[in-house]
Amino acid sequence: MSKNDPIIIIIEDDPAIRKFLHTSLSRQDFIVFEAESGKQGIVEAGMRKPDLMILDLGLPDMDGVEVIKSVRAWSGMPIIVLSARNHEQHKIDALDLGANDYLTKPFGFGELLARIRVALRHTNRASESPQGELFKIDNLQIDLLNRMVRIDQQEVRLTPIQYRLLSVLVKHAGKVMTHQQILREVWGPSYQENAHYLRIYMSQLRQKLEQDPTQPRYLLTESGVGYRFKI
Amino acid sequence: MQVRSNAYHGWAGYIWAVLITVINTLIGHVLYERLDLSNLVMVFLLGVVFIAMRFGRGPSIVASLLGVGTFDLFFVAPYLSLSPANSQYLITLLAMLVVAIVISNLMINVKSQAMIAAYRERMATALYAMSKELGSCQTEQDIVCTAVRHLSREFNSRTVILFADDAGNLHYPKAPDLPESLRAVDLTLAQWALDNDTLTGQDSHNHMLYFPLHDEDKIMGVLALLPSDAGRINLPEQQQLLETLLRQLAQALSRLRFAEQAKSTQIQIEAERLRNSLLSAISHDLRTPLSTIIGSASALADDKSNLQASDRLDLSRAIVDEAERMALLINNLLDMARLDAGKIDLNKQWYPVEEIIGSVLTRQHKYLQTRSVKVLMPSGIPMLYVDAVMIEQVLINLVENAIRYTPQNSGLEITVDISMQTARISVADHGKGIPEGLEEKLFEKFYQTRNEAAQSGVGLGLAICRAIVEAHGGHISASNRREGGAIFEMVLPLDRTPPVLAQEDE
Repeated sequence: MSKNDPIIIIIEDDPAIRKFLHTSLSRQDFIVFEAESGKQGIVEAGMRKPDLMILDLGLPDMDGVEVIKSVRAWSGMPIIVLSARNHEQHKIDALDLGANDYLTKPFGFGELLARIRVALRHTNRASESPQGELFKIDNLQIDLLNRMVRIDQQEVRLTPIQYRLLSVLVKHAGKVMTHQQILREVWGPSYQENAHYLRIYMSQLRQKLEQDPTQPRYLLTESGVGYRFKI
Repeated sequence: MQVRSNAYHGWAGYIWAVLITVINTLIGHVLYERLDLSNLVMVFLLGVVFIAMRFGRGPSIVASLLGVGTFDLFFVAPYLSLSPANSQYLITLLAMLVVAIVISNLMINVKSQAMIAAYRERMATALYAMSKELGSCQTEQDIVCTAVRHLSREFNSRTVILFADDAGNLHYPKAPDLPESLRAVDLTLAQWALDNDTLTGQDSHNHMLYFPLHDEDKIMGVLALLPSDAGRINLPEQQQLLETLLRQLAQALSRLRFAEQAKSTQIQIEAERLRNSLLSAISHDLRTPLSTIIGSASALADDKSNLQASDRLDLSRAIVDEAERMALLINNLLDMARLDAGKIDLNKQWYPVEEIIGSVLTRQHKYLQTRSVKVLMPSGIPMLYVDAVMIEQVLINLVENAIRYTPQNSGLEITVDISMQTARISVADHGKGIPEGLEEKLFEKFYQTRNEAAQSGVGLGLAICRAIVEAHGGHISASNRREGGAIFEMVLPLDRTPPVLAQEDE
C-alpha cells in the first residue's frame, strides 16, 4: 500500500457484499473504506476524500440518490452505483444526478474492476487536459479542437449535430450518459422528450464510424438507460 | 281510454236496440203477408240475439221489450193497441227476455275468457322474452340491465337491484344508471328485507317495494321497485307475474354465479398444477447449481484440503458459472412473475432495429466469442415502436437458447425483414433443430427438452418471449430450417408511421 494508491469508499448495507468488495479491492492496491448507511457514507466521504465511491442505491436510512445529490454538492469524484434489477428508472435518476456508471446486482468482480479503472482514468484525463485535445482510440481519431474525425487517417464527414453528439460522448468517454443528459447537451433543454431524435442520430453516427453498426465497437447502447462511448 | 270506449259502447248498444227494432218492424211489414205470426216473431228474436251478442244485457233487454211491444202493436189484431186479448204474447216476450239474458251472459263470459287468454298470452310473452334474454346474458351487469328493462316495461316502474357483499351489506351498483334505474331507495328498509327475507313496502305515500332475491339457499340481494301505479301492481295476476319474473331473475343470477364458481375452481386447479410443476422445476434447477457452489466453496474454505493452485482456480470458476446460472434462472422467474401479474407497462418508443440487435450482441458478447454471428438486414429499415428493453430480452433469450443448445463453434444468423404491415426478426442456429411436434410446446411455461439433464433453465425463457411479443401485439414461433438447425421468428406489427427527421447537411 503506498500513499498514491486510490482511495475507494463503499456505501453498502449488506455486510457480505461489503466484505467481498473490501477484500478483493484491497488486493488490487486500493485503499478501501466502508460505510453501512447513507449518513455515515456522506460523513466518511467528507473525511477520507476518496477518489471513487461505490454506492448501493437501496440503503436502509436514505435513498442512494440523495447521497449522490449531497456528494455532488462538493465533489466530482466518480460514483459507481449498484442497483437491483428492473429498476431502470432508479438507475437513470442516479445517472442524471451525476453518477458515472452502474452495475446491476449480481455482478462479477472483473466487471466491477473494469468499471472502476475506466472511471478513474476518466477523472484523470479530465483533470489533466483542457477541452479540445486529440482523442485517439484504435484506428479512430477525433480532434476536438479542429472538429476533425478520422478513421485510418481517412476523414469522416459529419453533420453539425452528428459532430456535436460525438463530441459530447467523447468528452464523457467511458461514462454512461442518459438520454436526458445527451439531449440536454446536444439539443438543449427543450428537447428532453425527443429521445428518438437521439436514436436516429446515433444510428447515423454508427453507420459512419462503426465497421458493423449491429456489433458496435465504440458507441454502445446501455439498454433502457442511454449510451456510452467505450474506451 | 278504456272507460271512454265503454261509455261509447253503452250508448251505442241502446241506439242499436232501437234501430234493430225499427228495422225488424219494417222487415215484418214487408213479410207480413207471407209468414205466420209465429215465424214473424223469429225475426225479432234474431234481432235480440244480435244485440245480446254485440252489446250485452241492458240493450238486449231493451230490444226484447221493444220487440214484443212493436210486434203486438203492429202485427197482432187489434192493431195499434196493446190489448189484453193478446196476453198469450207474454210468453213470447218471456222467451225473448230469457234468450237475451242467457246469450248476453254467455257473451260476457266468452269476452272475459278472451280477455284472460289475451292477458295470459301477454304474460307468457313477457316471461318468455325475459327468460330468453336472461339466458344469453354473460355478466351480472347484463342480467341486471335486462331485468330492469323488462320490469319497467311490464309494470311501468323504476327498479334497482342491490347486491349484498360478503358481509351481507347492501350496496348501490357501481355501473352507470339506465333510464329505468331507481335511485334514492331506503337502504335501511332494503337491508331489513334482506335480513328477514320478507317482501317489504314503505309507508302510504311512497309505494316503493323491496323484494328479496334468493336462489335455493342464499339471499343474493334486494330488488327495489317503484311502480307508477301502486293499485295495479297489487292485482293478483300482476303479483303472480312479478313473482315469476323475480324467480327467473334470481335463477339467472345464481346460474351465472355457479358458472363463475366453476370457472374459478378450474383456474385454481390450473394454478395449483402450475405451482406444483414450478416448485419441482425450481427446486431441481436451484439445487443443482447450489450443490456445486456449496461443494466447491467448502472445499476452498477447508484449510486442510491441500488444494493446488490450479484446483483452486477450477473450483472458483465452477462457483462463478453455477452462480451465474442461478442468477439467470432467478431473473427469468422474476420476469415471468411480473409478466404473469399482467403488470407489463410497455415503455414504447421509436428504436432503430440495429440498435436493439447491437445492444443484444454487446450484452451477449462474452458467450458469442467462439461463434460467428451474422446479422442480415436490408438497409433503410424503418424504426420500430416497441419497448426496447423487453424486445432485447426476447432476443437475448433466443440467443441464449441457441448458445445453450447448439455446438460451441456453430454460427448464428439474425435476420430482419420488413413487409407492409409487419417486421420479422428471426434467430437461426445450426444445431440439431427442434424435435418434431414440439414447436408449439416449447413456448409453454416450464417446458424444456430435457434430453441433457445438465442443461437447465426451467424452460421459462421462451414463455417470457411469447408473453412479451404478444404484449406488443405480435407473435412468435419456432420451426426447423430445411438446411438444418432451428429458427425462432418474432413478428411485430408495424401499425404506426415512424417519425421523420429533416435531412441535415454535412
